[in-house]
Amino acid sequence: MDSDFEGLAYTIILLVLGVFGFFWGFKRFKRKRLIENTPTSTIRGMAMGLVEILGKARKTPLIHSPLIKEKCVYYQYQIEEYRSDGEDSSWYTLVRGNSKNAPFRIEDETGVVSIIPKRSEVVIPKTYTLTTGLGVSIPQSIKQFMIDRKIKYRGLFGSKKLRFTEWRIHSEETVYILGTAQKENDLVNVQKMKMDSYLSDLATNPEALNAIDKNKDGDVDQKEWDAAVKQVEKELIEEEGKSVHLSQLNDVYISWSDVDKVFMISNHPQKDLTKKLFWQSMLGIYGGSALAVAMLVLLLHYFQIF
Amino acid sequence: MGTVIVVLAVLFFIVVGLIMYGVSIYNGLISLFHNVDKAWSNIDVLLKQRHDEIPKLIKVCEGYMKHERDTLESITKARTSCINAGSVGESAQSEGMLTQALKSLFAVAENYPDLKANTGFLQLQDRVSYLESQIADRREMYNDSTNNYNIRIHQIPDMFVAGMMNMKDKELFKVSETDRQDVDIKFNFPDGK
Repeated sequence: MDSDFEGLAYTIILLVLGVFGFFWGFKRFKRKRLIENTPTSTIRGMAMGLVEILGKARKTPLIHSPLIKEKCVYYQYQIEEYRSDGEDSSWYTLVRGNSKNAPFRIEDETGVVSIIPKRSEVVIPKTYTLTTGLGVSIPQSIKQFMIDRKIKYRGLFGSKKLRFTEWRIHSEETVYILGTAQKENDLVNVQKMKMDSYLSDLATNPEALNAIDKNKDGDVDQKEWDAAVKQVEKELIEEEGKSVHLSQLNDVYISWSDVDKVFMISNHPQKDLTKKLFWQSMLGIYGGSALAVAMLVLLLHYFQIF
Repeated sequence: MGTVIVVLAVLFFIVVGLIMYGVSIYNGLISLFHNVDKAWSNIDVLLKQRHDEIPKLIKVCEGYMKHERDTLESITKARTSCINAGSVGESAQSEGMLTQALKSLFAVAENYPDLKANTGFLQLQDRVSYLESQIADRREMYNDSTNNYNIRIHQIPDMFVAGMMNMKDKELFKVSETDRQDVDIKFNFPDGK
């Protein structure tokens, strides 16, 4: 490829990246403010909707992390290979994965709630990293993992240069969650469904219709029907009152919701998390705009306008 | 020509940056404002649930506690004043009274073994106690939300936007001094002891 054209392509890519970084910085800033503005709730006092909770991570049974087989409640992993073609060299991701489909629990002194990590942004530090090279061999558990997934760890001229990284949340670790609390059996929908079913039974049952025909004229008028609907409503409320018990939080879970569009899981203290978001936003806003302007200057220079 | 384009680009980032920063402050304040209302509604839902349980509780107790008319009446009165409460302050005061009255009832109930053995009463007691704990947790949440909001509208640069939006401090849910005191239990034994 012509080196001038290659330079121009890189300049345009970096210009786009700079503009993207600028807007991304504001997104991180918005997230930082959301965390600061949302008060931490106890699990017992949690209401449905966006919640922030803090508690100990638990899971029964615990799962094993794929690379070094350590017990945990959540994991992420990545295997990269170092490739060099003389001029260009960098790390390429061979495989990555996580346990986002495996729910775990968070417990505080007031209760327990299930977490479904699917679509969450997990902010946790690396718990294991290994780069193979001179005198560093691949542990047996990782070798087995790679064999199972048909990933080659040997090249034509001996071992490849590989990097293994794993992130884990262990049992009993304090975890911060910002997500949407939802009910498995949404009470309003259940009540509505029950109400519809009661009323359709009522409308098709001649005996029941006869019972609500108060003036016995053989016809159920609007007033009589409304009174019957009210009676059904009352019975349903009474029934619901009797069925509410202390384990009412059993069917509550925290997950991603298309309404709130925020779901964060982290084992960093909240202060560290907001600090991290602050620096990310500064980097995005100032770094992104500076990069974009610099690339614009280069571009103008390329076209001999500047 | 080139210099003009670069200056325009720099201006673009400055202007867009300032607009986005202003919008994020405005949206942040709006979300804080509504967080307080939402936190209050979340308490209100539980208060209503507790109010609904009280007539059932009194009905169960009446059969056993014929000599505790005062205790039962004080609960009914407190419940009525809770329903009629308007502001957060009034609500906090009447809810405090109701909490105290319920505490007295549960303490006095200890003296009625037949009532303590009634499954309906035990279930209602558990439910009301659980609701009390939930209300306390949500009250804390409400105060946290209010506090966040009250601080933010006085901080620079948010205070300029809050001033333009005429945002005022919101009231905290304060528990009165009497609610913090221990329950004063008076037993009305039939034999006058």
